[in-house]
Amino acid sequence: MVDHILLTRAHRSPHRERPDVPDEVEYDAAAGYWLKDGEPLWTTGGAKPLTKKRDIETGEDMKGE
Amino acid sequence: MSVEVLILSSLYDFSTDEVVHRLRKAGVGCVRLNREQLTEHRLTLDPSRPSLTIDGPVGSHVVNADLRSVFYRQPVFLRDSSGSPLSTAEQLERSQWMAFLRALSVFRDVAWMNFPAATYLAESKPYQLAMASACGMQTPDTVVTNAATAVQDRFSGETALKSLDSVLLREGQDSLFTYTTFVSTDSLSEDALRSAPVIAQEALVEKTDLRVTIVGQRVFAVQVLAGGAAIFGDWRLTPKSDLAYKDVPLSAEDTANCLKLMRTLRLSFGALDLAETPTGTFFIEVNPTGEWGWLSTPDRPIGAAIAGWLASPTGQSYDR
Repeated sequence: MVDHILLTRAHRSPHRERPDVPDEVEYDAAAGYWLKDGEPLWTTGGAKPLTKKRDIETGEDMKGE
Repeated sequence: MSVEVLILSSLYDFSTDEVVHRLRKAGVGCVRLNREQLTEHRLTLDPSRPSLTIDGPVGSHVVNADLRSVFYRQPVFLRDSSGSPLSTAEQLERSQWMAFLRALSVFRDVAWMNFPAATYLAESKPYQLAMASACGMQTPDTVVTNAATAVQDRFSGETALKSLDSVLLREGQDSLFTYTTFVSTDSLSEDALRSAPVIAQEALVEKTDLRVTIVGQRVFAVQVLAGGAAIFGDWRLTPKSDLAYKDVPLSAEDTANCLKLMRTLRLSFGALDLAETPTGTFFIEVNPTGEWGWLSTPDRPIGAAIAGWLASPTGQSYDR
């Protein structure tokens, strides 16, 4: 039995349940964004996606469940 | 605070942070619900009025007639790639909350980025190709098949093979992901395809990748380069540190075609992959909930454009 070509050509990486979160950050549910030292994390450049697939390949928008 | 913008996202969709922060700075009432935190809230939907009552860590809110827009950063169908059995409680939680989020489609009179039904249809790559072709865009010669002979009858030499849907699999402690792959057509065996269909396309060997992010009527186009040059094959395999994104003007014809495609697919947001070739621009795919944070900069203000659209939706409504 030959494996399907999409399996034989698949790239393998250690599984992670969720993306890495930078150290010393907290999510402010009422505000709706992550904070670092009291400032919105995104304004510090922290956790900015590096590619269109982020660092975890779950499809464009973390569609994998 | 009246809720003018409802954001349905993920706790780890860091790009959404920029949108929420910009909306708050602009004084726009918004609430962000993340799918990982839904059980921490008490949520009640009245589908016939419609209204949504929220009580929990995000505060106490009623979403009703003041709502202008919804930013829907959610899956539209379940892909079970957990790789291990889910408990009955986990299965129940996933299926029912997914259905609850889709049920928010009852807010039909507001603008959506994007409406779940439109995203669902637009997630089909063959459907995208058909619509792009109908909109006058060049598309690669394509067959969708599980028969090697069908690929060999159509193509010779190298052929690009793609999955019909994201291939994200689990095996033990590993994740498996399949990029676009190139094969010698002659070497393709029936056994290598029979168990699942694939998208087989003519290989665009001489091409430069374009990423076009569309927000309403605003178009942000970049070339994806490595060392100042075009990239052979799937550029996602290029080390991130080698990648560069160069802002480029999109031709009037390509811009018009992209916007026409968005109207056809009823999308107010889309991240398109195009390829510039010696014979013109080819449509590769559109991602209705595509990632954009990696390209948003002060000089390329995609996040600000999204926040602006959500605060004041403009142009044709594509949501219904």
